[in-house]
Amino acid sequence: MTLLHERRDAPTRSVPPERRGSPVDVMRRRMFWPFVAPATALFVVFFVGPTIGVIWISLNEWAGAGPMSWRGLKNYVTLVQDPTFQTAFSNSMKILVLVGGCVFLASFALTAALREMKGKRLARSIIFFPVLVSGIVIALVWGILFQHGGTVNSVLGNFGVEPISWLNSSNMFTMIGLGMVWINVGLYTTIILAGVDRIPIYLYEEASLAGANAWQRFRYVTLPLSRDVVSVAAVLWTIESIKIFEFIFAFGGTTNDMPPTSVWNSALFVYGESFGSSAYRFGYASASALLMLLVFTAFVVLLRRLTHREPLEF
Amino acid sequence: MIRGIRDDGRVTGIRTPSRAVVGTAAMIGPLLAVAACGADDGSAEASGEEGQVLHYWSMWQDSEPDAQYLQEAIDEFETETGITVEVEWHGRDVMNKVLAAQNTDSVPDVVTQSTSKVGSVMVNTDQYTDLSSLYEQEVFGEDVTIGEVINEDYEVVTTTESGEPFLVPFFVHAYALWYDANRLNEVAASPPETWDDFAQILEETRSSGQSPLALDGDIGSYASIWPGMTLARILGPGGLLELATDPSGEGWEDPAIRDAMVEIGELAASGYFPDGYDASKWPTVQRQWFDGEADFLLMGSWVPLEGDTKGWAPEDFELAAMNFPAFGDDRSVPFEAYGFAIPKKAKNVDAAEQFIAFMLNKDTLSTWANAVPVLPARTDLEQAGSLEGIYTIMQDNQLTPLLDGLRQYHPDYYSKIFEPAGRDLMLGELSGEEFIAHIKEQQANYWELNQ
Repeated sequence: MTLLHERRDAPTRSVPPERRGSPVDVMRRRMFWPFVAPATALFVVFFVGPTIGVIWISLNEWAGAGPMSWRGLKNYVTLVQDPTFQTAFSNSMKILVLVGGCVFLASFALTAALREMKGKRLARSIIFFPVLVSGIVIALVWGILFQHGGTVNSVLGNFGVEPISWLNSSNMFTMIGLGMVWINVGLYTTIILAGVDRIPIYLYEEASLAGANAWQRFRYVTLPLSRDVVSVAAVLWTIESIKIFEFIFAFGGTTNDMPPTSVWNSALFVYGESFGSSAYRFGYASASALLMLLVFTAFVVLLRRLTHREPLEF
Repeated sequence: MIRGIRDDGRVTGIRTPSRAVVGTAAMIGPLLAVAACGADDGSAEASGEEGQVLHYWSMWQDSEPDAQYLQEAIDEFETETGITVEVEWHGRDVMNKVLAAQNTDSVPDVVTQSTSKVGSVMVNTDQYTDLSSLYEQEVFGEDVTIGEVINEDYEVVTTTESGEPFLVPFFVHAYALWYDANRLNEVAASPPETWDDFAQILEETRSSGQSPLALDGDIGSYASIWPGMTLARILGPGGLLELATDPSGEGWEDPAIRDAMVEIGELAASGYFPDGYDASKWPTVQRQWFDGEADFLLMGSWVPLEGDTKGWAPEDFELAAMNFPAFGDDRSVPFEAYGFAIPKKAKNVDAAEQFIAFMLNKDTLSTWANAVPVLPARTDLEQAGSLEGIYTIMQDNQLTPLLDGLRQYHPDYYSKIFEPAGRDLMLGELSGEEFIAHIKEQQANYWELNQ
């Protein structure tokens, strides 16, 4: 009993009641690591570890097997002077800014139209459909539709229009951009509409009573009150745009060949330098992947700062 | 049984597994189970106690006709030797998988692919097996060695710089101009040998309103082979490789090269290819060629395979080949060899060697090669009818690696400099003069950055 009393009174074991909390809090603290540890372990093994590995590889020259040879920062120095990387970087920026701009403009236009139209649920489903279909399938279908003797030119030919070279070198990247817009606009319309649906209807009613037309209701009610959702969607697009790969790969490439380097974005550059063109320059490819990761992380941080403001409650 | 009293004064008894432990086990258990499923349990190796297991990674997919014939041969091999073959039909990107596997102990015992792909993945990383002794072994069921039946001209692509063979060729693809001899019977009777003669035929054809040439412009390698083979003609064997690796790029200023590139560039500018060839998806133009809408197709010897197996060739189409016309003396024929290689870490080298020796058996190889059809690597086999023409051309001329092996030795230069520039030339985006200026500048910049 003495022993028991000593244990109970030991100062090192005593926890202030306010820190102990309720039995639920105690249990919650005990269960914290058992629940978090597996996810943490997976995160470390499958994300942190490989990222560290990529950093190390980017400082070396490595053919994917066999010994590495140290290059320090030379891969990065070469990269920024590499015309093919510069083109890929420029294309990634075009996708981020121009294609992204078109996606959001189209999404806003559809949001404005869908919010007030009848049968908007059906329309939403139809607009969202391209998001569900694999980018590779869409790319293949677009290839059949837009090639020189394809469906689009055949239809246009019925109206006396000469065949248009939609897929030649000059137009290929524009077509890829259009494809990206078409694939993504449904997703971003859905996200923005979800935010717009939360806006109380009486605000629109009041605006209507004040004589606001559809554009003014969109400009002065929808747009300001959906800003939080739009800012999240913009971050999402920034992150997604760096990973765009399969549509360009399938649309511009063929069974055994990569697309022309003029339409590579940063993701295709990484693939091309590693497996795609049998170059197997894993150090160089890793350096390009890391550089783009840093650039896009900076964009995300900047975007978050630019769009940050106190949340509105309504 | 009292074990103690907790801080909150409650008595603890025999400890049952806590929720924490149960929770952890509940979450980690499935992970371990998944990991266990993914791990190699060695079952395949375990069966090796009764008989050896050979792991073969193929460049074909199991839906291809080649795979069906190979599978029949594999079944025979298993019956004859008692060795079990575990086949993985990976398709053309098999070497990407081999590359990744080379960092583990789970490498295949034998693989098939082209010399350029095997060279990039296994030779450049020193992960190949020297097959010198295999070349001295007898072909299964025959009294001749493998080295005796393989065309020795193929050594130029199947050996390392130090002369060690790293691949045993199974079949080859040679490159030539293909046409329908039934329609172009005058060409068949007397194929043009020089570029000037060929250009005259092309011009006559174009003037008649027919497209003289076919090219699926969306495939960069198909387009860039035009300037590639032209350069090989002007510079002779090895010359293109030397030109491409010149750090200054000054070699492009050679007047003979300039004139030839201007001439080749004119093909695009002057409408020698069908309308829309630069904005179509493969195989649109190739099928137009089979349908007689264009006369000549510059391509590897897999053309009969596509014409026959895929049914693209009309019944009256008589496939014939002519050597790429000469700009000077050179009449060499570019080719690529495909065959078997054994990774350095392979566990069953002996079984792999038996497998290769079996596959090169006269009956086995000829059955497959004639059925597909392809050009078998053995010198003593009859060729399929549609390939007799190209085989004769190969016998009459020196064989050289396709583009002097540029794609194998400098794949990054090829894919970023040579192929894009060649494609732009053949699609009319660059004139011959612009091509020279462009590639000279790009090449000098490339080698400055990548020395």
